[in-house]
Amino acid sequence: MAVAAQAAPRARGRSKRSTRAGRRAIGRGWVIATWVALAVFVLWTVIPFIWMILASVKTNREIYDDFTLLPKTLYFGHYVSLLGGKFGIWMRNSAEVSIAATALSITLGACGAYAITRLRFAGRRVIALGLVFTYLVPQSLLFIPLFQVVAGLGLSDTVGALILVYPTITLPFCTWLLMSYFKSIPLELEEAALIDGCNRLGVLVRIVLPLSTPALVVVCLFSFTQAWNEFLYALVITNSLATRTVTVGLTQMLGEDVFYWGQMMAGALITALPPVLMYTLAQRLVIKGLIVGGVKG
Amino acid sequence: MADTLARPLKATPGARSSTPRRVLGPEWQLGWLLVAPVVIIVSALLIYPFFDAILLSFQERFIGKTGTWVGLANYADLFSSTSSPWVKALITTLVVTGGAIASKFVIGMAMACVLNQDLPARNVLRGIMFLPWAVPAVVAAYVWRFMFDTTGPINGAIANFGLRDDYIYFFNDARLAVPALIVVIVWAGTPFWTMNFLAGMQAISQELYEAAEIDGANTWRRFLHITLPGLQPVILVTALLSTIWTSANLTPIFVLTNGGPNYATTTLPLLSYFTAIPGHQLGAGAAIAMTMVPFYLVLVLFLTRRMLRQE
Repeated sequence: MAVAAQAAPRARGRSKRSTRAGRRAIGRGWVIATWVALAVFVLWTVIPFIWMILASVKTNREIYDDFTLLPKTLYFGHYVSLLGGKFGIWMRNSAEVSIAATALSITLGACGAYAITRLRFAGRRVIALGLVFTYLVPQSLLFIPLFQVVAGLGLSDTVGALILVYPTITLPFCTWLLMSYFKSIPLELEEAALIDGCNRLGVLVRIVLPLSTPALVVVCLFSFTQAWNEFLYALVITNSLATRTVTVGLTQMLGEDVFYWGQMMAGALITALPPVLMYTLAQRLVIKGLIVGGVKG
Repeated sequence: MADTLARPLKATPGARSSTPRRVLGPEWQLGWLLVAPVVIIVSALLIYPFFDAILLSFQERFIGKTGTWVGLANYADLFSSTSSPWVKALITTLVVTGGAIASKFVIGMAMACVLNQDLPARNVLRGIMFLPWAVPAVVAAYVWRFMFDTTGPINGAIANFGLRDDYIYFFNDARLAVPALIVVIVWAGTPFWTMNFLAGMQAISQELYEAAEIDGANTWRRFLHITLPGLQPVILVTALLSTIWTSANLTPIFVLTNGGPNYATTTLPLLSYFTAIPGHQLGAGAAIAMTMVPFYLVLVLFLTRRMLRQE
């Protein structure tokens, strides 16, 4: 991200030039192809969303019998019956778990990242390596033993177990991303503060963290979204209606034979809303962060 | 990476030399204190479970019971015949992952090329294209399950234009279920590729394109000889990351087909889940998961080296 920030003015100049070059170089055929492709991509991306939104405000008659494209009136019955059920509890569980996991990841991640980037002690290289390694280990390799660990701790079927387990998904990435950001902060600032009598923790809290606000925002968003969207661990660890998170709760909403599509789409929409809103608000930061974390260079 | 990782401060306070300091580094106490929570969480909930899974795969163990050591019996069951569920799931995993990765590459590249042009409201368009990435996998899967449903828009369009007399039941037929599943995975996963490709394109020097143009290279040749080679490292890392995540992610399959029809969409992670949790056989499920480890180990080792080098 630091790299991206430094390169920003240059990149802007470059994109202006590329625009000119592009206009000069691309033939008419390619211009048409670009616009056709753009239209196809936008439709491909957007149609499922539109279909979801429309269905959530259609009556069952409109969905199952009339097959109308657009609802005649906005029908909010699906939302009403949704909130009358267990959905509210699932949303609250998801919010609790996601916020707690985010707070844990950002606090522990910042401490760990600062130690690894700035303090000299044996083992930090191994730890840095281990973090990347563990970030890449997929959850489907771990859910069976984790199920046992959680049972061993007596936490089966609790929201607390998810708060404990979700940092394993978010923490390595958070630490990794903060490490690359902390490295970009000039050492001189910290040296000056240390000479003035500030201790290490003071430097971290008063200098490094305030300078890292963009990275902290990205880390927050990532942790929250990852935890909110998580499915497998929640499916395996929780199994009663009161402890489900909303992603697992959605899968419990289908009846035996009849599909409640209206209610399901209303639920899907509400479930998608928090991560989508957050992402929209901080879109540029998120994309930069993702690129730094995943593919750098 | 070793020497750039932690540049030491010049003003190290209280530099008093004692034996632990020399062995463990000058700031080992605070350093270890700060990394301890990360190390403990990662060790207890990632590294320990991993080794526990290895041990578990050699046991016959049911949920809530103690295990008995059975050696390689769990593995022997998996490889018992060429038509065993494991072999079938392996093939499905390869087909689904391969199909999805190839499609994501092509669509992601085309999307990035389009979004890299001088378009009006380019940032808004990018924002829209990246939306599927932010949506929970469960939501994406349910929305698409509805899209493919008999009451959904695809069957609606078919009926409306009189293309067929009957509905298409996408998830009742193995020949349709696998491609439909790939469509959903591609829809949700392509934005990640597009984002990375776009970022990679920004880093390619514009002078190269200008020089190629003077030499008379057309748009397609410039793409082939400048853009593609320039993106090569990005393509490699993106493909590896996406291969890990696509092959390991059972969420879309769980929601769309639940592995059916007749196990046609059961991938290895899903087979592992079915065996261990609904099937209560933790040992056998762990063995299935363990058979994926060599594959992931190669990918992860390679990626770790690359990501640290780029650092």
